[in-house]
Amino acid sequence: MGKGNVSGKAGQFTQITALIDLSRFSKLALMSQMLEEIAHIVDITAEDVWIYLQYISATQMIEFGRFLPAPGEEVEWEKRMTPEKHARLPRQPH
Amino acid sequence: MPTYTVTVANLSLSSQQESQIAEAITAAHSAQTGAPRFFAQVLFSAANEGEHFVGGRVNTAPQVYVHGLVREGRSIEIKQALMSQMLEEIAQIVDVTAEDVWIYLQDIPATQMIEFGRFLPAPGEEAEWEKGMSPEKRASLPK
Repeated sequence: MGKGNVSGKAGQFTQITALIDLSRFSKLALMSQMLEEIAHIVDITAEDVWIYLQYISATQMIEFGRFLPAPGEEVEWEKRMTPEKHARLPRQPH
Repeated sequence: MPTYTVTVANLSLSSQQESQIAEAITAAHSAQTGAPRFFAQVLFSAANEGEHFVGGRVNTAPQVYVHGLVREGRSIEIKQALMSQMLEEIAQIVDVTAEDVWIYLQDIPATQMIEFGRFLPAPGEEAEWEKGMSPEKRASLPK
């Protein structure tokens, strides 16, 4: 939760800006799930949460030094990571 | 007419490295898109320790993330050449591997961008647009 200004007045809010590659899932479901869980974690009402979801083409994203694959080609892409980098990546949630 | 935000995690950039990165980004943008150098804005910030997550866990490896906002209307080839040039030069300046660098490039319509207090022109109309600047502002800009 950060301090900020809304309509020119100081207040506190949680703002999420997400940049994701092309749609492979329901954006409505993604945003709704984030909204619900974030409000719960921060212990505020849903009215205190703003979420903007923006699309960006996979062809304009580099992660780990390489252009991202098209949706569905992640497994092939992942095989070309160095073993060192691959080993550092988390696999399971906490 | 771009803005690039460079965010680093688990490393700190010296003033010299920031200058070198700003120059590399400005030169790459100008070379690949043909836009004048003085439109390029580069901002730096650093994530606080423990506030950078990858895959849901705190990341402890060095990482550089570049987020570029540019006018729409350029080909994928131009945009990917720009990204590749930035990737190579930034990794070298920071002395990290390419795998430690992320870059996202986003297009915005010129009609939704204001720089120096005026809406931007379409790509290719920069020279005419530049004539509308005040002499004072124009004189204060690097060539």
